[in-house]
Amino acid sequence: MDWFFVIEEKKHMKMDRLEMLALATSSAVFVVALVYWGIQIQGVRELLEMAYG
Amino acid sequence: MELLPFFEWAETSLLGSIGKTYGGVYAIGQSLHLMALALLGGTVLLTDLRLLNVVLRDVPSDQVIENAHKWFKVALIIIMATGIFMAAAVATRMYYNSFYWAKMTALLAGIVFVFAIKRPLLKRPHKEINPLVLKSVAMASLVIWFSVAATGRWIGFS
Amino acid sequence: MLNQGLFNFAQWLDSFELSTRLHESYYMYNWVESTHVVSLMLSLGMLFIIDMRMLGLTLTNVPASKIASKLNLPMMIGFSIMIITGLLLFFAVPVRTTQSIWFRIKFVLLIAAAINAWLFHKKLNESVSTWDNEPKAPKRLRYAAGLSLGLWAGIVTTGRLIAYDWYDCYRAQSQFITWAAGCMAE
Repeated sequence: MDWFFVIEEKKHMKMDRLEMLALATSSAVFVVALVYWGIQIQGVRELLEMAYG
Repeated sequence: MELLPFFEWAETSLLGSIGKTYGGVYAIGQSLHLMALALLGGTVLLTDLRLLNVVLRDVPSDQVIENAHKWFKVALIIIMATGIFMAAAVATRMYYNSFYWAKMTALLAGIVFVFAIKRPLLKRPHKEINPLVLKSVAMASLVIWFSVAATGRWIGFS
Repeated sequence: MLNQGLFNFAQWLDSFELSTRLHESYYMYNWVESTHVVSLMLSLGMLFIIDMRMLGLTLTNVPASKIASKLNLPMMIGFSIMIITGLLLFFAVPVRTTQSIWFRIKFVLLIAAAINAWLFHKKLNESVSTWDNEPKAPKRLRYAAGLSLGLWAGIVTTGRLIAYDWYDCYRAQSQFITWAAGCMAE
């Protein structure tokens, strides 16, 4: 994963309020998207299973 | 708050009836919407893939992001203008379409995320931003805008 | 002659069971269609940025050759997805699509865009060292970039229009449309 952090020099910095907020919101986005798309995919799978077994 | 009367009104409004009456004008609206989607997607991908160090790694990220954001705003305005036009013509159907609401929620989330969080954060020198935060913001932005486009396309299928 | 050949080819594709199954599968067809549309963000998105750099509209402080070469790979990944999904969409509905005037125009525009892109890259590679850091590309390349944007606008528009049946062969059409769409009696 070295390439992932290539331009950043200070890897372990303290986070201020905006950074915390950004991290929290991003995490919320991941959770909501995962749940939403998970439910969508599950719904389709169940429907197809009902139709074709 | 009851929103249905607003959607019914939108469909009978001048904008709604133009889209309803002239199929060619409606199709051009859709095409412009798609082109703006491409531009929006291009700027979002450029920004977020740069922050994730996937593209243009040897160009300072501040520079890439400032340039992309200008055109992101242009694309967003075209997308919303053509989107309102498209939705107006079929407004009552949109009201009952769950993907329409999913898309509007994702779009609203995207706009708030960009202007309330991503922009203020990226105005700082990027080297001073915690890398974990930077990567998370970039990935979240990709997820949001992909969801906006995908739910948007699925409106037409349901 | 040509139309007959295309029609026979379309009917041959149509005879595959997979073609029918793809066409009739609500989820599979729409999934392919959505992928085709959503990958516009990658393919056309990157193309827009490259062309806009040549026109001096964005990233003017980054060398043009760098933008063109570094964004080429993501753009090509995008276009590969579009070609694969596009072929699948054609395979799912071959007869109607072959006789769609919009599809025919789109195809011609795609060929024009490909030739334009090829000439553009040739010219770019020949001359870029002399103007790489200028905010705008030389006139000829700017024309090519503008043409590219125009052609792609046409490709998106005609692509979107394929979905509409206004000029489909099953309706009564003018002689010109019948000829241009290559309508064949089934």
